[in-house]
Amino acid sequence: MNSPLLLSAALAVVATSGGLQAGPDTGFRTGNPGFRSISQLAFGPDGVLFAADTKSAAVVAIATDDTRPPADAQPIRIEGLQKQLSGLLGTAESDILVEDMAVNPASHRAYLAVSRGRGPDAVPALVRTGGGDKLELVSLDSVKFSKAEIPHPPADKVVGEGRRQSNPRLESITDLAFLRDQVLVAGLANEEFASTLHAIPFPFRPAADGAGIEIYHGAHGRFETRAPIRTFVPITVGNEPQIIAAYTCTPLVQLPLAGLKPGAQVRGRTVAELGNRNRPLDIISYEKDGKTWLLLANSSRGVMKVSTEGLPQAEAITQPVPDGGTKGLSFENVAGWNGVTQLDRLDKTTALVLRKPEGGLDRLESLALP
Amino acid sequence: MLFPRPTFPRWIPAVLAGILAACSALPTAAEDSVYPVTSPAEPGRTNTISVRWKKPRDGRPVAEVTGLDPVRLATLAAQSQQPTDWRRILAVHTGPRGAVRRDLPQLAGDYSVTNGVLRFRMAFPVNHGVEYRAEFHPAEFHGGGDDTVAYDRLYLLPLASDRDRPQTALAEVHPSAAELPENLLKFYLRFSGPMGRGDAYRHIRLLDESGAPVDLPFLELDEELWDTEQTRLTLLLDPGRIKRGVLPNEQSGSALVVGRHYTLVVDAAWTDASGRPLKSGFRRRFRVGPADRQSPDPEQWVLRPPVGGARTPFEVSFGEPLDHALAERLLAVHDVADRPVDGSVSLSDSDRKWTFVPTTPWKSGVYRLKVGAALEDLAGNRMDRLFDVDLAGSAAGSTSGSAKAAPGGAVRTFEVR
Repeated sequence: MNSPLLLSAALAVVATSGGLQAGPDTGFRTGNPGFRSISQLAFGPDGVLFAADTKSAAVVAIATDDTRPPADAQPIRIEGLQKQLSGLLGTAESDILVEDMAVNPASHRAYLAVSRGRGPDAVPALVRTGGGDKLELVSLDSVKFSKAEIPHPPADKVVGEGRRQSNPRLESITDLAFLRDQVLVAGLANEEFASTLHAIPFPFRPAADGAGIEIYHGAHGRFETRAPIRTFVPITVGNEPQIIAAYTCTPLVQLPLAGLKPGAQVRGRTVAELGNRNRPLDIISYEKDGKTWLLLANSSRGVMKVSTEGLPQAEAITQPVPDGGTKGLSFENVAGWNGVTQLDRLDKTTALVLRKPEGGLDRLESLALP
Repeated sequence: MLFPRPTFPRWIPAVLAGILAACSALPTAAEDSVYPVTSPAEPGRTNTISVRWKKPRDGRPVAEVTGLDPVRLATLAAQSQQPTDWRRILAVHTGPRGAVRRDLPQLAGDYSVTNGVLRFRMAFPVNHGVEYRAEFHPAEFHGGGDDTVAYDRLYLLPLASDRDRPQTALAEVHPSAAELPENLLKFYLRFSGPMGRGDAYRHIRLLDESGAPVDLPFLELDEELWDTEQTRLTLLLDPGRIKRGVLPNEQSGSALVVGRHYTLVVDAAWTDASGRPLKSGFRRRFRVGPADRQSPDPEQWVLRPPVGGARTPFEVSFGEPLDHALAERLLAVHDVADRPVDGSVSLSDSDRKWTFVPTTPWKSGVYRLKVGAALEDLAGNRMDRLFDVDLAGSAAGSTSGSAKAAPGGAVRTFEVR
């Protein structure tokens, strides 16, 4: 659902007050949302897809009307995904970049954000699975959509002379999630070290307030961290909405979403240490045997299954863990899930993964949740 | 069976006519196939089915099938709205030149029927160097019978402009000082042309003194932090590593160690936006100095005011290298009425010196140098806060930064005589 995310531990959160309005139809209009890029995807209820457009600094909600599983639903398995996409989109395989993958919980179809081309003129495409090995382009010519612009920090300015003039500053939208009535949008600028979390109420309303909230990541010892979160998943602990975020080398940090008001400081706490020398890539949560589990894909250890049991009472880890050791929430490595780069929950018992096992083709496939 | 068999006598495809043209020297090389058919109902009449790519007006070519039995076509159009049905009749595949890939999904696009013509319009513009093949399958159209296909190929040669353009080069790397702080936060890599995205981290390494690569020194983001033109990449050293005491696993530690030398290496195999490798690889060796835990302090900068009546340069010496992109963007000159003064900005002396040349000659009077609050030094320290926050406070002595509250930035005044 998400790819390496960059939140800093000092997260500027843009929150707007206001309650939930019902229904995905509110504020939607029909037409072409005019994407300049699609970098991240996340699903809300009723088949509403949130797609981040970094180049336009916007998040677009699309009412896909894809609210029921296809009649002839077959397990998804696509070998050589990049090659298959090159056929569908009419370009060379080397010109295909899969940006993100998200499963529509209403239809169990996977949606893929794909760039057609690798240069600055790359064209974004939205592709979905049609069961089995089928892929289809989602036409964006006439969809029901609603758009929220990400508040931009001021001080944007062009530099350079004559034809070289441009504004090189860009805030990448690096992760996206939906929780209850808000879209959480994480971003990172390519100049000043400002990583932000915008909490945008959905349905979208115009003129989101740009005031920031700083979240501090729990310190290990003396220093507050501005270290970047790599990937996060929203979960509910008790009745409280939370973010579980993974950092490089690999602490898991719990951040409460309650009480995020402009000007407030929120302190996250480290609830697990999963060992060093790896990069977290994607994280999901799921229910099994009456418990909530986290599944974390990372660069060197395949996939880890983490128990959230005891999360409400978990002591924050504040002391160094020596020798690449582990601490906090218990976890196990999941055997056989090699080369996973993208993860999402397909249904109650199955995950959909995008992976490239060593020496094999990249493939999209469903695997039973461990 | 895709459609019900027709109730009228089937048209029987006759001989596949010759290929009219195959010309790869032209920008548009097309072969097309004309397809004479005889109707059993009208034996004396020969109809000709033709498949042909039409040149795109908006970059999205259209494949047209003409000469179809209008009654049959209308019947099919009334029966089906599904693209999957039309795809069996008019199949469009892609592949590299001369190697059409029928094992891949058919090309995405829209089918339509107007005035007896079946059309397929590509969802995306044509890609130079990729072959598109539109095939008409008569058996699928007629509901059986001979299935000798008619087809047309569309192939546009790779753009000459791509081939003739000079190879893209890595033009500048910042910071460029011989010594960089242990807590260095980022490099900027600026290229002479747009680069391809998606592969950056495979082509960049940081080597230690023995020539061995440092393990995971950079924050590797799928998004890759490019500017919109993809000529500049921001390469963050993983702050999770360089931060003191951030990680429970402290032995991962900083990627850079004081007193040692490192080499930043970019290999030439990295491809640009048109898929061509870089003109050459890049290596830069640098020494690592002590961590920088001081905020940039504009009060300490040395300003050399220009002379009035001419376009003389206005120079500001920072006394330390600052972040290249931010120093380029966040410093501005305003006149006494607070109007921004137009001019060009350059950085020199390894980003220690900022020079401003106005578009029109200076007038005598007081000017202001405005410094945006987001300005950072090489370690990400700002005027109003250090990158690190020491919970133990200054008593611990390791954060000696003179961070000032400067949420709106800083202002220095200077006088032009």
